[in-house]
Amino acid sequence: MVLIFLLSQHTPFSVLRADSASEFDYTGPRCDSLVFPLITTKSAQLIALKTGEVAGMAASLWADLPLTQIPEIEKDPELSVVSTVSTTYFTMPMNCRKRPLNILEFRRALAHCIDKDYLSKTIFYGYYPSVQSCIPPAYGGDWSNPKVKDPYGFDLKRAAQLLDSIRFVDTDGNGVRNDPTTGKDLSPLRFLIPSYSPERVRMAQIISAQAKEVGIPIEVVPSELGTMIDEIQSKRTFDLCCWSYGWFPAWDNIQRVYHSAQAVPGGGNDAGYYNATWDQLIDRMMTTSNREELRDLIWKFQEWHMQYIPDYPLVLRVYLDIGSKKVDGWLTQSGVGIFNPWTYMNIRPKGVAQGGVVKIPIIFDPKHVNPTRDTTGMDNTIIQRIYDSLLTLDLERSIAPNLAKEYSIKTLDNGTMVIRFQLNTNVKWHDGQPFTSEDVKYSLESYRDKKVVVYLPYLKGMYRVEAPDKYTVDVYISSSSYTAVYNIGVLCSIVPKHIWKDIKEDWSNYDVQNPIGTGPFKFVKWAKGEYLQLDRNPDYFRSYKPKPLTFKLSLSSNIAVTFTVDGKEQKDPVSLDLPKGTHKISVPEYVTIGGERYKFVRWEDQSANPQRTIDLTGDLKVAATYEKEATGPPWGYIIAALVVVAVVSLIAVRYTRKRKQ
Amino acid sequence: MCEVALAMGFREYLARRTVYTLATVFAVITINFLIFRVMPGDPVSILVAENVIRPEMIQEVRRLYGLDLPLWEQYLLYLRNAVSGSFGFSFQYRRPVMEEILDRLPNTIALMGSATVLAIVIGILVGVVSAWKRGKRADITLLVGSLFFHSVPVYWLGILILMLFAYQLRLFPTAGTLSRPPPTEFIPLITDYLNHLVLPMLTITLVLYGTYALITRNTLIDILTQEYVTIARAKGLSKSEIMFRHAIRNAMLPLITTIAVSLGYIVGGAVMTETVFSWRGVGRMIFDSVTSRDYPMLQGAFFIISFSVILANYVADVLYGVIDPRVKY
Repeated sequence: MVLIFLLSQHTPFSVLRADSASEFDYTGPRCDSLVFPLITTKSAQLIALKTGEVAGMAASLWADLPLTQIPEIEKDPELSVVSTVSTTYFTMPMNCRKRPLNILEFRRALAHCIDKDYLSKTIFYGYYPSVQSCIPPAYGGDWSNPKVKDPYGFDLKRAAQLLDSIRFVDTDGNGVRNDPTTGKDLSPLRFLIPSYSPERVRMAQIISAQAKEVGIPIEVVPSELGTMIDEIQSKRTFDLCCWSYGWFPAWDNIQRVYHSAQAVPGGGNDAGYYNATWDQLIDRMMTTSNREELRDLIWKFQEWHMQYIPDYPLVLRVYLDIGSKKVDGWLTQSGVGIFNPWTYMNIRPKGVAQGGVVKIPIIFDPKHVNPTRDTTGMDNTIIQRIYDSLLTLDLERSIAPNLAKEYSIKTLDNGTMVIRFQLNTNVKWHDGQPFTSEDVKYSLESYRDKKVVVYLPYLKGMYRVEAPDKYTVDVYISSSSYTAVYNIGVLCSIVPKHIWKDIKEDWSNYDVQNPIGTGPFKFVKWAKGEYLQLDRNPDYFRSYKPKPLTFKLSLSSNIAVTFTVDGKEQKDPVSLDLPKGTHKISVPEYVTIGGERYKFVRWEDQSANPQRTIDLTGDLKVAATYEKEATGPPWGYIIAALVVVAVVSLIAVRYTRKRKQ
Repeated sequence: MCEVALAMGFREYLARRTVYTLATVFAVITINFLIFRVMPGDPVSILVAENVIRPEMIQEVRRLYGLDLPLWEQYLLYLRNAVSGSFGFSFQYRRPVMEEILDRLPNTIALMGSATVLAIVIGILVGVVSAWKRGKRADITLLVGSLFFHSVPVYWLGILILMLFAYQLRLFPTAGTLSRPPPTEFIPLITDYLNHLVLPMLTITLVLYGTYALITRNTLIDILTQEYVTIARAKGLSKSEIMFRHAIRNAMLPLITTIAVSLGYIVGGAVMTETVFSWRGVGRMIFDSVTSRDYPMLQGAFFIISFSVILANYVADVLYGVIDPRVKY
């Protein structure tokens, strides 16, 4: 009996936003240095984050921070938790090379023993929802088939019926079903689980308990990761395991995991499911140039996958990232979270436009900084800051320009596809050498000719690369393929010809000491076991240009006048954003309105000159005062004079009369 | 004549101990070789699975690391290299094994050495006070404290110390051997290093001191019941004179053995503590090497640790004979 604690649903996450994504213009970097200190436990990383020693942490990558800590972290006013639904999901591959898992009804019966919603609520506290398809919606676009839903669902009765139908019956009444071919009890199925993930161990225990109720014995075997990899991908002796799939893009996930060519040592087809029809579909997927057809094939595959379930998708992973509010520039990339290439470009200390040092912890040392070797996520965190590819993925994970400012596709009469990449002309390597089409040609041809393991699958069909001029590259592929643009453009890093041509060793094993790339950051230092430092590349082709500081200048007057600001006329009232510094303002000395003439009298600072120069160092309000000027006969004075004359005359007359009397 | 006989006896004892020690070293070397051959997981297949090498290069890699030879030939090659201190090339660090170990050893010795010495001093003091105040409140408090820290999981204690001193009080840094990036000048560099050393050292000291405290206390209690102590009391000697001039000296004997063996374990580091505090030492290197199936590194590390423990035992044996005049050869 497994004791389960049912917890309440998590509350929505706060969104960490110092910049809105719409203000990000894909330029950078905004910090002077990125430092990656090695902090080997998530608990210590969290403490370092709380003390301000580091800027953020990926809570759910490599080793999970217990999910129960997340609500507590959310209460910290200095931190924000950002959740991003990823493309990766936990799934249960079933070794179809072995009996009874090679029997479809047996696999379906096992699927009926799993209550995914229950697992999501109790093990993952609702953070990881159940997943319906091997291509979940987080892939973006329209790659996920909306019609595919998990047809199984938790139904022990149905599971029992399926097992009965294939004659796996408990003949001796000991609670364990018997194999009809041998008559013996089913041997316990070994369920391998990575021991560093207690949640997955518990999940396996629940599945085991539920399968036991229908007579399927399962032995949960928490294993060290290396041992697991060996048993699953080399020896293939496992029965069940809990793995994480979800390679991006969608066709890469399907091709890597389900093609029979991958059912070799080191390949990704863990379940060992051989299906010639699937292979044909996948081959067609990788060679079609029609996007709609590609989508239809991917949709079809999802339907088939749910019918034949060589692996049973369980729950979707959600990336939980924690960022400090003392840092500006966090950006969320669809399916990836806040630790994406654009955040590294945009991140800087709070209130700083450009500058400062940002520290992001890593949990183990990268193995290498060689883009031609296979990489873990940790290696990529560093390598992708240093090296660029021809194209990239924007925040929505759509293909965007990078080293190539544009690309075009042409299909020749013989079916050959030619991808033309037009390169940016202002790109330099970190050692100051210019980046040209020769570097691209050399890189791609070398990956093919030297059989660089990590790139070979992406260069399938590529038979020629030409550099007609310094900034144009033509890649010839023997058959049209929509996926080729992504595979070649996004997935292949470009290396400098002037350095790599002198490397005699096998590139896949070569230990790069001082990586030179075109990326936003330059390699500075790697103190293994301590930290790794990258500095901003000041010559980066997407350099950030700080916007000048501006202030608001408000101009007004008691009458409607036209102001002149730095030679440009502005009608009252005026509100302008002007850069910091001196500006000339002037108003006319006289203004006539409706026949009345007005004269400029003074500014708000009492100065009387209608022309003035201001030093703008903050928001400023300026006001001009006018007074009406008298223009016709001075009736006032005339009347006053007449009154005076009249009064004087009256006095004179009275005086004269008195004298006469 | 008696002295000559004693000297000859000691020489024979020394020779015997030396032979036993060498035999132990040889046995350890052999077990060290075999143990990694029976571990589950083939390092070359892991390299293939991680796409580091092409499947057709498996043979080449096996040849490079001597894994294609018969087991006895691998053993002879290993023996020859072990004697010359060469344990090959590390799979994960891509440098000679000894180079990596020697790079990390100073950090481990600094941490474990300082923590062990501190634990010994504190342990002895606590043990003396505890024995002195036997049965009283002080004794019970110190005893409970010693047992508590001796039993508490070091990982948990490390995190607690981190939370208190690094987070709540902000007195010390959270991780690493030095600041990232470290100071460039000498004095600030040393200060920075010591600053980072405090918390892991505190953790290990707390975990270790209990052993010495309990041994000291129990030995002293036993000694205090001896006849010569009763006579010393009858002679009118003060409590402190009895304790420090008679009792503690005799209590040191079993402690010396424990201390000598502890010092042997210093080079092995403390895996849990080094992991919690991200201290770049041999302990964490061993942990990383286990997960990476870095056989050459593991063999090198285990040999160093075994050798230092054997050596420490040898020194303890010899020292015991010198210190304790009752020991006859």
